[in-house]
Amino acid sequence: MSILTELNTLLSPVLPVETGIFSGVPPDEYLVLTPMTDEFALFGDNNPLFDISEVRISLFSKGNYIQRKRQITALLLGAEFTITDRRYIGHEDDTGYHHYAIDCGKCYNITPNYGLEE
Amino acid sequence: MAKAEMKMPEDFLQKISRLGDKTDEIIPKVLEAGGKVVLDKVKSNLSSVVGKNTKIESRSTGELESALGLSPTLMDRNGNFNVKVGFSEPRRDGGSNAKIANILEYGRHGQPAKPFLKPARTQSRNACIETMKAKLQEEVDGI
Repeated sequence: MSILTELNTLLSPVLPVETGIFSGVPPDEYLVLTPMTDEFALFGDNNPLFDISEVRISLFSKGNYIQRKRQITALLLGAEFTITDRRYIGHEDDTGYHHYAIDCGKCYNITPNYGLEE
Repeated sequence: MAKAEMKMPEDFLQKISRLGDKTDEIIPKVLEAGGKVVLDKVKSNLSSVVGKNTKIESRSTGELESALGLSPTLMDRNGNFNVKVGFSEPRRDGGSNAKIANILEYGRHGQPAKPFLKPARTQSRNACIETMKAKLQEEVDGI
């Protein structure tokens, strides 16, 4: 399973989620996933053993973003994601959205056949 | 009561003493070597995102990229040396480079984020540590 698949499965019951940019007419609250880094770690026999992926979750909300932030944080921690940063970016006066960013990462084992499993 | 006395070689003791005296000269050199590695990665990441995949034709002037640089090594209030990778201010039109960099890094409603700073930190960490270790060894060997 990839980090984007897992995040989509985890967060889509909470809010509409899309990767890269939100297509169509955006609702008052939505999430955008932006992949940031993929790196190999811990090598053995000239092969990487782990794939560490990091994704930025951008929360856009016209309402109370704090409750959503807590809800998403709890879900991520419950699913064993590592949260590397949480930051209030600001209120966009022209659009009326609060913007909050949560950076998270997860380490996936690389199986001998190069299929990925958590 | 038996008594044992051990003496370190004289040249080794002199080297340790000289290393202590030169710490304030060596640390800035080591930090600047590491900072350059991070700066190069940030520059490369910024070049790859600025003006790309824009809704309308890009009006990028290259000012943001040219404003990116490395600060001199300075000591903070706790006595630690620091170098910083960042943007010189202000822009020619009086605006802020940091504000534009922030919008690029985090995006906005309707504008996708194009992270370049956070990935650079992850991507350059190992290379930066190795470069600083090599530079420190070079400086220590030169004493």
